[in-house]
Amino acid sequence: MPDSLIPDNLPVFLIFLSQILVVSVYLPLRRYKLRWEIFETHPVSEYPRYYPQTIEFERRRLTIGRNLPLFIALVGLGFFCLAWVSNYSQVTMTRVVLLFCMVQIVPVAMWEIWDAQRAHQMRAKDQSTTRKAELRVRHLSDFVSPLSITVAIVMYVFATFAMGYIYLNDLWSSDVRWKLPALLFVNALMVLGFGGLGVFHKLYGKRIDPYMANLDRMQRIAKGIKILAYMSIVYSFFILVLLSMQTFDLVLELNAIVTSIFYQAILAYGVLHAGEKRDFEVYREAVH
Amino acid sequence: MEIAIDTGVSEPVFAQLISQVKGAVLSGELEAGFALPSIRQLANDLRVNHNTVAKAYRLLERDSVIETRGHRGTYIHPDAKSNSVVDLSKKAADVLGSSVSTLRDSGLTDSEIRIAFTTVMKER
Repeated sequence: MPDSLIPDNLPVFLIFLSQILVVSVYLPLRRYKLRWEIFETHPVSEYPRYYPQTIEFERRRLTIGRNLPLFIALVGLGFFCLAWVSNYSQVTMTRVVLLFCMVQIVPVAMWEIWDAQRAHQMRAKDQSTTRKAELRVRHLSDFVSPLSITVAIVMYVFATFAMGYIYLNDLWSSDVRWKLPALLFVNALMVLGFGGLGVFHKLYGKRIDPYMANLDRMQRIAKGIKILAYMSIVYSFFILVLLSMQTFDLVLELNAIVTSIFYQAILAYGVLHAGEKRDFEVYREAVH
Repeated sequence: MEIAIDTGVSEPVFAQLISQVKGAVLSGELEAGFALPSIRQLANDLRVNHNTVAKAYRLLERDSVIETRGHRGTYIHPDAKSNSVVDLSKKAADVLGSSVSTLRDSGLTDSEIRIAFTTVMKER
């Protein structure tokens, strides 16, 4: 038993608790409320195009989408209590926080897959013969400032250069130290790779929702691109902080804290901006 | 500017695109130097085959309504307004119409005219 009721790594414990409450309780409930309001204010009878499936099916998914994160939150709280009582070490807590990020992402990914399926079903049911498009070139800089793009690229190049410099000059004696920065670097590479593909698909790819108004579509594209740009900046910054800390033998407690804050912020941005006003008139049945 | 097509009408999609671009040039909605979206972007937005948009762009370029500046993109031609007035499809229809009338007057049947037209098109 620990001597004190307060664990040694209190900030990590607090950030873990915040991560559980924000990602698995607050954001899912908020998303549930937003969707429920849409279903209530836009009934199937008036907006049939919005419902490729029956309303019962949609509500069932909504309930699963709310309950699964809540279940994960309960498991997380159980872990939290166990870790508190057992006074988990800093390394173990860091692992728990990072692993729990992966568990918590499952319902988020599930929502994304459901939305993609929904859009696919909308396209399959779309019988209209008229299609519209904006006769205007879309550039990356229309959606995110050139400064943000420049900063993202410069930070990434700088992080890559810093890693290469440390490795080539053998500044770190132990190979173990490379594990986390290397993992993060690969992650950043994946974020950039998949993010780049995602940006390209958003800018020039097929329409996901066949009915969505052009303005709403542009807002969605802007949101996605902004998230990717900011994520890239923060990730590179995080790698640089980590490299500095390890080079100067500073405390590594910040690893879990920074990762968790970053994770919570990105997910919160996505959900909190989902409630923007959009044109639902396009989902009414076309009159022939 | 918004472009709209209807896949349920007999007029081909590429012809609808051409007439709308020319119409927008004549009305002043599209001015010389205006950058047009890429073939991929427009085809994906309209959910039509890329070749359809490519064909429309090719014909508009042939009529000097638009111009392609290498990899920099496609733009409205400086002389687009005057070139949009010339309707090559109408001109072809007029020439063919008068030829068909002449041939009919000389006693040829429609099927004979069609066979002759197909043969000529294959040869040239």
